[in-house]
Amino acid sequence: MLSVLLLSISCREQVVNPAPYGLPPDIFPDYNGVTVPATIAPMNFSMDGARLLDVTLIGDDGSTMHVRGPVAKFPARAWKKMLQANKGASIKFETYGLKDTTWYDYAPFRIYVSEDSIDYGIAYRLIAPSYEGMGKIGIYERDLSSYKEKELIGVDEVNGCINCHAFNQCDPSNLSLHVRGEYGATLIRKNAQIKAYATKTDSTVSPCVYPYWHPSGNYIAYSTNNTKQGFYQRMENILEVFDNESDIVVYDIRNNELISSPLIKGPQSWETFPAFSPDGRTLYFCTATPKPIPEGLAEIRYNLCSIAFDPETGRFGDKVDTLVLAEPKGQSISFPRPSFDGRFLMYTVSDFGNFSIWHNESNLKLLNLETMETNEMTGVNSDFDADSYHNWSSNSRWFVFGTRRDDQTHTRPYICHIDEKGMPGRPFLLPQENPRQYYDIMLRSYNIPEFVSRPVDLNHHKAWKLLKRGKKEQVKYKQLTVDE
Amino acid sequence: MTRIQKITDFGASLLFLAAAVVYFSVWYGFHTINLEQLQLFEGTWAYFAETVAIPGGFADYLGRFLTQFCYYAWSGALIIAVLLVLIRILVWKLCTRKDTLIGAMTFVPTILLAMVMCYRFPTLSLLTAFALTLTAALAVNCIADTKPRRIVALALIPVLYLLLGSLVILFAAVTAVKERNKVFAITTLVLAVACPLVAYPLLPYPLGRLLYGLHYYKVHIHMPVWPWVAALAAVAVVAFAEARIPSRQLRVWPAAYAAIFLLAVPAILLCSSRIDEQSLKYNILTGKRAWNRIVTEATRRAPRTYGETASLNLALCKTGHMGGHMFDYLQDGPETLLPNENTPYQEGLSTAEIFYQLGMVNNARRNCFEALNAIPDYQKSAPVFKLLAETSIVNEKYELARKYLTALSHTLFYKKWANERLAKYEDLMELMIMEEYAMKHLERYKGEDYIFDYNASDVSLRQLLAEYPGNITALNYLLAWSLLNKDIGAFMSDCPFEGFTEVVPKAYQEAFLINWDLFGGSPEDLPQFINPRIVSRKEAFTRDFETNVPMNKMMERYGDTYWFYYYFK
Repeated sequence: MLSVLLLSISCREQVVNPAPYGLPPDIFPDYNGVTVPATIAPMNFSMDGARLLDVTLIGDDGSTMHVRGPVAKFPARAWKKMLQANKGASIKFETYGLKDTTWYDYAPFRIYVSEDSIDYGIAYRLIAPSYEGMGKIGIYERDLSSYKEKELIGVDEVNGCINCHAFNQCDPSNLSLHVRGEYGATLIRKNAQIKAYATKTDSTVSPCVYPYWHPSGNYIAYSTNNTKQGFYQRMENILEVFDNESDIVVYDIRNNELISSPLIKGPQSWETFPAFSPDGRTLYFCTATPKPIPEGLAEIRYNLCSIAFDPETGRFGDKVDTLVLAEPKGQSISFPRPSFDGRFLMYTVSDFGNFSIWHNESNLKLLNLETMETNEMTGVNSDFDADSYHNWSSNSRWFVFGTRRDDQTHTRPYICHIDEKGMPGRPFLLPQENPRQYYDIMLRSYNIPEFVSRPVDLNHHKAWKLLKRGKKEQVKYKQLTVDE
Repeated sequence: MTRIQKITDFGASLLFLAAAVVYFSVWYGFHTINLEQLQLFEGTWAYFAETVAIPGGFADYLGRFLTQFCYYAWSGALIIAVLLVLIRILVWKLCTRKDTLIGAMTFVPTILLAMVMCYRFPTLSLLTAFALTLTAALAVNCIADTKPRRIVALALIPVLYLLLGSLVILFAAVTAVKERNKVFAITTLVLAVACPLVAYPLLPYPLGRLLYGLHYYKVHIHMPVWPWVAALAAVAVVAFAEARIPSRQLRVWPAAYAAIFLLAVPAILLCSSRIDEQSLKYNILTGKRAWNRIVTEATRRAPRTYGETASLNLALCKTGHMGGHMFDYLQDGPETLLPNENTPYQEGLSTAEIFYQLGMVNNARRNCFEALNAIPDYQKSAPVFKLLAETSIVNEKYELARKYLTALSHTLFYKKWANERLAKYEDLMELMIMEEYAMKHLERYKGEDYIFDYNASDVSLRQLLAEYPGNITALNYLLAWSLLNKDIGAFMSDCPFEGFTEVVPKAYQEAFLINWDLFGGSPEDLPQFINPRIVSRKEAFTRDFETNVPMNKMMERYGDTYWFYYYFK
């Protein structure tokens, strides 16, 4: 009886007389037309309202795969094999969906498998979209070829706010990480040695904040920011984080010394978001003319500038160059990130201020450093959902960025291919085994997603002991003159 | 034991059960309900997998499952009481020698655990872990042959550690005591202590927490010592019962129970906090929008803190009594109306509710998130999710609302509420017209966005009214804000005296009279909406005030008036 029943159920679930739908399926995540690396984890998906999906994958090489279930789940081994076999080609997805009692035949869609490799994984901070209380914060790492996620360091052990992690061009052996609170310090690991530093000096406005490694591994550029936050009355941007003052300093690891120049430090202008060029000879940053806060908040706009830096002597150039003058256009720039091949620079544009991750109007732009032309990235940006923090893969063929496009509240990591001409593909949401369920439950934001070339080897117990012991090295400060 | 002693022992268990039910449902009911408010138990595989993934996860899952029933104070109290008595019975069952003294002593671990349950952030996971550990010890003890019994006990230790957490040490200790073998005792204890030590490098928790138990208390710093004192007491009782002391029947057998119970009462009261209970009461009742109940409770026992008074003021507003009765209760500045940034995050839900009712939906969301982040063990909260879903619907963020509703649809007590809303997703207009969402949608801010400034709340309230004049809550709050700030000028310009369909509320008339006096108005020219009795009382107040009647007398006579607030607060 049972076998008859099971047989009848399974027969009923066969695709029978599907009604043509004419359009591609409205799946979550939307993988229609995306470009993916050949090592990406199976890109499972589901469709709201569909009880059952029947999906057939047909590679350009003729290979096929068929799955059926409420969630289209692809077996890892077969998926990997299929992607490898279709590198530089595409895979067609033929999808049938069972809604109520009717099967629908959706128009097929494709994903494109790039020949460009991608790094091992991404590291990010997971943080609740709260404003003052911290909740469960942690830095996590995710293997891109599977669904494995590992907590690198979290508040269960380090009792304080953990923020602003940075690696040197995706190399996790060089790490900078801030911990705030009772045991606050900046943890810096160069190669195998990790140390805790007290980075507030009498000459700087705050402890070090936004980091960026010099490619030599001998310096880290930081901003120092006197930061405040406020809460909007309406829904659109929810909260604003703004500076009352900010500067840029460069930490010389070998001499345990912060260095700066009057051109990037001082009350005449606010500088933030430093980033070294891949050759280490240029320091990019954002700068704004100070305005009274809070009344002038909506008029604070940052331009993209640069200053020369000599890594041999640790000296800055004698002039600041403006690369993108955003202020007259009523725009503000944040997060300049040069590609590691030195050809492009990606940045975020918002209406004002520098905390673009909470600005719905934020969009990414791509500056070609050879032609100085700007790509508006229209195929990458969402309409009004804070496309903001971003960084490059080590081969500069992929970038990962945070966006709130899924629910306007929680930032999710999207990965996007970019070809040798600087043309971006269609980005895709970080795959999960059951994406709808995962992202519904995950009510924390992915903050500062960064590629890592291999697993991050961070002993959280050791780091915690280092902080708790309180033995922090006090950094010194040296102000250089413009001539120096 | 004699039959009468057995009956006494049973009676003692029954008495304890009844006392615990009454205590945790009546005297301490909001603490019990609060256990449920600080979690969101989802009946899904993903939730189960996430919960059981760490040592002690199974006991925690079971504890969370039972915590759902704390939605009602009586059912929560019953579960707590049953678990406590069960633990007592298990300890009793483990005792070889059974006499009245041992019988009374077996209540000691239970009482110590009851003390923990009186703290602010206990978990039922502690009780489930304790009960399951003792059950395992009892089960192992039932194996007749020594060798298999010992092998099973040793094999169970890592398994029990994974399932129940570090209370496996209790299992090891009890088994060791029962076995009376030094080598076995040392082996089991070393193995039990080794479990958290082995887990330490693999898990992101400090060693102290792993040894204490990850889920035995919600707060991870300043954890009460009582769970482990209870474990020690359980071992001590079993060891005492195991000792080959000649059984001596105590003639004063009722006295043993009485002594234990007499000691228990002050111990439990010492761990209890009536202040916290009242604070939780206002927070929870506000979250449940039990406006009439809040007013009734306030009549019984006046609010004590800014947060409690703010809840009461909202309840008065929602029941239409703000202007009439607000000064019947002690008011202390604008913080008793709108909680400011210094409000404890634990009161985030009631703070969020105030802003939601006003139409300041973004502020409501902000406080919801703060309330979530104030949960010490980072769990979700069903009532906070409810409000987040509502704020999202009001803001037309349906995809976001769907996430909160989906989570709630996996719960026992919020499922119906969530499913009713999810069912409307086919027609969002239907969803919007549910409850007061459409009204709230109209009431919320629509104009220019700007950063909220608590000290300029009147500006925000005025803007709310300008955008939607029908926002009665905002009007009442604007008037109350001016009154509490003693800004009579602003009150007079905002108060629509002629617009009240019934009598002008008492506090507004009283404020009007202050303004009348300030500008030297004549009593004969007073408008008709001023009640002559209030005028007479004002005259009496003025007389007493000018003759320097002591403040306590003034409070006695005029404590319910705005004049008293205006001149004495």
